[in-house]
Amino acid sequence: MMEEEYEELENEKINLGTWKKLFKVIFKSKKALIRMLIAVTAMTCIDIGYPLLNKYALETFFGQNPDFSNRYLFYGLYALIALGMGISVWAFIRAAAVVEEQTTYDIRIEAFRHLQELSFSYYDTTQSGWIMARMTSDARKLASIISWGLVDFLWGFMLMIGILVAAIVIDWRLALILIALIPIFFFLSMFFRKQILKQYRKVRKINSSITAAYNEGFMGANTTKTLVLEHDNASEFNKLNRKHYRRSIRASLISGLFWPTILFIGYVGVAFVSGIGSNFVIGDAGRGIFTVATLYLFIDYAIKFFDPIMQIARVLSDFQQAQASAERVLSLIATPSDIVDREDVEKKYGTIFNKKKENWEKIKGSITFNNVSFKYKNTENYVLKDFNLEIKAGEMVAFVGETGSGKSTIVNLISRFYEPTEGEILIDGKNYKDRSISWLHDNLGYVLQTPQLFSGTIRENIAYGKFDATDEEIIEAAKLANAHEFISKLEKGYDTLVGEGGNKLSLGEKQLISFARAVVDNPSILVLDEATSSIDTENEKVILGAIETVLKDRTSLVVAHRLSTIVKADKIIVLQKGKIIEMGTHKELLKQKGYYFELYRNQFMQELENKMVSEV
Amino acid sequence: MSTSKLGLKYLGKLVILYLPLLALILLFSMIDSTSYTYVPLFIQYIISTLENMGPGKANLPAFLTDFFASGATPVKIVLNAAIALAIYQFFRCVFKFLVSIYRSFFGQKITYKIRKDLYEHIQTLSYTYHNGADTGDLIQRCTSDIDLVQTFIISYMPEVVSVFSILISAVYQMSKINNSLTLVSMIIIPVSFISSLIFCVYIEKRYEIIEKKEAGLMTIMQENLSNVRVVKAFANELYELDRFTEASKEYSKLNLKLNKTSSLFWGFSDFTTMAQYMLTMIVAINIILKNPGSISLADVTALMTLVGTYIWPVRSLGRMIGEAGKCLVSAGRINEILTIPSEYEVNGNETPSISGAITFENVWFKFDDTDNYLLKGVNFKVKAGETIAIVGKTGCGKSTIAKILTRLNEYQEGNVYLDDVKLKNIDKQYLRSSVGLILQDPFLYSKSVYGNIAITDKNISEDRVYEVARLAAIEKDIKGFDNGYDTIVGEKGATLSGGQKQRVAIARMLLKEKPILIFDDSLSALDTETDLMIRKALKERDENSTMIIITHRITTAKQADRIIVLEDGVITQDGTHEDLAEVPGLYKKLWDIQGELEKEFMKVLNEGGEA
Repeated sequence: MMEEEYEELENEKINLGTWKKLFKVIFKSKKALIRMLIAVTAMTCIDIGYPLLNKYALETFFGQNPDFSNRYLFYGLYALIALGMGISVWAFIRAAAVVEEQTTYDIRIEAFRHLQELSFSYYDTTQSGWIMARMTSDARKLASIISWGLVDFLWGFMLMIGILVAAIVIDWRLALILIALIPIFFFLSMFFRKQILKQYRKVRKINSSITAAYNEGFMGANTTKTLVLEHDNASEFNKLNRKHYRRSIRASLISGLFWPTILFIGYVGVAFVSGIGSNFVIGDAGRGIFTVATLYLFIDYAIKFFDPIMQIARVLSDFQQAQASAERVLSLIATPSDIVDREDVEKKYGTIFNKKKENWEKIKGSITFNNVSFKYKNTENYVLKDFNLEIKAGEMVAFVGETGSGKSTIVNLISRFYEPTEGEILIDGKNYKDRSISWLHDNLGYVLQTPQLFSGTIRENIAYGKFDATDEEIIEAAKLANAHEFISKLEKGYDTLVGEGGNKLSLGEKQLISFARAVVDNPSILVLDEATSSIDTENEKVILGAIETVLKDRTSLVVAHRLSTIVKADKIIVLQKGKIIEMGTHKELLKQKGYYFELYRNQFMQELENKMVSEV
Repeated sequence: MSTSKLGLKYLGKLVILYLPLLALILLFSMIDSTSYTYVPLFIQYIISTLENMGPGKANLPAFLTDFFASGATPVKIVLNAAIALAIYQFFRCVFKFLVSIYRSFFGQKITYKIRKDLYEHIQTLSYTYHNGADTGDLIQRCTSDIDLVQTFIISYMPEVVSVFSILISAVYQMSKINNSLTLVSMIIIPVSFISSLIFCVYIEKRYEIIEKKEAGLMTIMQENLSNVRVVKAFANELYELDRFTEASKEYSKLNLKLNKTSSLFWGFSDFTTMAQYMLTMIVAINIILKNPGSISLADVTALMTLVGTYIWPVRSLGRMIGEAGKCLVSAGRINEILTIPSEYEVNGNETPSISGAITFENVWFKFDDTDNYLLKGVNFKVKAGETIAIVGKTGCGKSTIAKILTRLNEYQEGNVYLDDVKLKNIDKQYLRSSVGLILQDPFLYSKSVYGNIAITDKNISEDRVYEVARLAAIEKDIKGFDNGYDTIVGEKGATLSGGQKQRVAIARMLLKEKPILIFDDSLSALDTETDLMIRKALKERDENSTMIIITHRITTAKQADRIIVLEDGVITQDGTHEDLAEVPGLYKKLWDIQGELEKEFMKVLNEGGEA
């Protein structure tokens, strides 16, 4: 929240490039834009026109020599104008709504589409909250400002020009008064908006500190009780509260001055128009230059005149504010993806949105690391250096090591979530960059540390691994993953809704479903990325059973916290600081009495201790 | 009580509390809006002066019209009136400015008060309440709900007053000109009010549906972002895009429909405004046609301008009524929190010196919302300076004992004594500052590590802070942080591991010596060795302190002077390790398993090694 405030402060100047890009999106809805333009022209004409009609009435019916012969024509004209006003306002706002909706929709879809293309390095370094904020509040702010801002701007601009033209036609001398008001209004309004914005940013900043204080106060309420800190906390909070109080009132000084100032200057203008204008009506200078009704018309125009100027000034300052949002959204869309397929690969294998499955080779599942080095972008240290490894098709390989030993990196590289900085990874003997990302991912099953489901039914969640899966296939996958038993016990079975993120199910149940999802398409390579670490002992047995059956007959890569998972691996690779320090089967490694032996002993004791408490 | 009823009550309370301030702001709005309806009269005067070529006519105070008429020529008269108008507006603007400052002052006063009340009250709510509280919801009540209530009092209430004063005043001014024209000019009032009310109700309803759709869209996006690994690993980007596009289309369609309806409303309202002008004009023409000279040109201009003064305010009345409902709910949501009783409503007033001796006498405890007792007649005694371990399975009630000793939970039956004083007679805050309880999942504040340790006494010597950090075996970790003791922790700060958090919490509690220290599973994230080390160091420092260690670790319990075994709310065993390890029961069972574990491990190892 704080971060955003600072970002907002940075952009003060209008950046034309940003708006050019945006207007390109807006101009896609050409038809609505044209309708909007026609409607606003009609509206302006009416806005200018009906005071003229009033003037005519005042002169003809209420003047010195009334003449009522044309009155039905006048009524008809007035009715037409009233109708025209209604229709043009309706058409104008309607067209603007279409432009707004189309623009928001386009930006949203474009951004979402691009998010699908971005690689892991982006997601690992960007908080999902940040992205959400861009996709929601920024996109919305942007859309409403460009569409409604455009509406107000167009309307204000047209009306301003219209009134000016009408005023000049009536009397250029009086029109000069109005013209003189334009820069005064405009600059005053810009000045005030800027000051107000500045003041309210300060207020908002304190406001977010207050929200943070509330958050802390509530989250830590019980700890506060045990430490008897209620009083200290409250006085600290009230310091902030008082600061907000003072700042808000200070901010209101400037914002409270704005409208009265404008109003006063506007009426000074009206007074000038009346005073000078009356000279033209009856004064010595120009007796009879125009009628009283004309003067009234002019006063009417003068009162109407400051509204559009204020609108234009408001829109311009809104645009200035929206610029930060615009830049953030556009920067999201413009972020290049780190991992893309080469053009020739794309041609043959298709893109992620348009897969050419007919050209895909069947995957067997052997994996080779050839002198692979890897470091994260913008960092110095290599996580892996000249790493070599051979995994045969159908083998089960487990990776063991401390956090930061490189085990997750290896799995990420194999899954092509990241690509090697140097060296190459071969799948079935061929550099995986020679085939498409989708080709690999389509043949990959993946189970994460914390199971992630999508809201929907269990069936839909399992079918996430294979959309055209038949019911039989789904049930078979669930059986394979030991999930069928608990699913059939549910009232609605496979049609049970799992809730947002799967929250209605227990962690263990979610994990079982994610196993089923991983195997439903019978992938050639299966990755278990610490898939058992978050499982409690109760579910461990079921899940271990599931793992055993699920891993059969495919290349499987297991990153494990819990050693019981990997005892049966064909090959256990023990990593330390990106290097293989031990490699072999469970028994071979225990015999070495090295690192793995120690690790196993410690972990084993702890696991059993925990199990004991829950089982006794 | 329903939320709106509670809201009404709360608003009523605020109104009474701020009656003078509120009355003043209502009066100000009345003056401001009434004075507005005099502006057209100046114009009327000017026009009629020009019309008559002599002093004009308008319902302005006599001293003004006299002053205007003092001009020698009609042009001078007009000039006088024009200058007077500018001066009048100047005073109105100064007044407006002062009112807006006053409004802000008043509004901030309300905000300040509600914020303070809520913060302070929520802190005093019970331990049980906070365990189940939804922080996001609470924050919403403390922020946007307060804003709405404030807006209601300083904006909507004065605005309603101002709408009515404009209406009354404008209608009065019009009636001074012509009665039948006044009646005709009032047709728009019900039309505009009713149509805007209907529109607001419609919008509100549609909005609910749209918000739901939007929430669905957000869920898809949120899930896509947090499940990005799954999406990519299954190559389902296209599916996600399709899903999002479909939901997005649906949302856009609804939104567009709403906006199209809005455009219809705005078109209609602008049409009615014009129609009103037309109607006023037509009737005026008919009157003058039948009765020449009865209405002047100036009268018509004044009428038209007066109609213009109330069209917008009347339109906004509908919106305000819609919003007022929301404010009521917000006020209700605030009051819902404020009416939850504070835990200090039940308190003791004694502040005895506490040596550390504890007696539990047939103590029964259950939570208010269930009938299941967690403690069913617990009896035990602890001597001052003793170290007691309480063991038992999850859910056996061992944590409850810690909460009872600090009066975070209140027992229903039996008695607890500290020395000879009944626990229920002791002041809660005094008790908690004497009985140090370290929770299993402690909270760290958004401050430096140093600030967190020194939180109960900001003026304590630095050496003391370093000493307790050393005691809690966290010093080495702190020195490893980027900024050492100045590293910011908590929500926005560095992420500490569970074990580090627990040790900071322990250090924090050790800052001041306490007669009783309770570790509620608060060493669970540490390895056994560190656990033991910390407690040994503690025992050496505070040899007079009573220590209660609630744990599920048998190796931890073993070190205590005495072990209490709690099963299903009842104490089943009480004795030293040597006593209990020999007697059949839960403790022996646990201890035996511990031994078997070691054996089993060796077996596994050997099998592995030999095969």
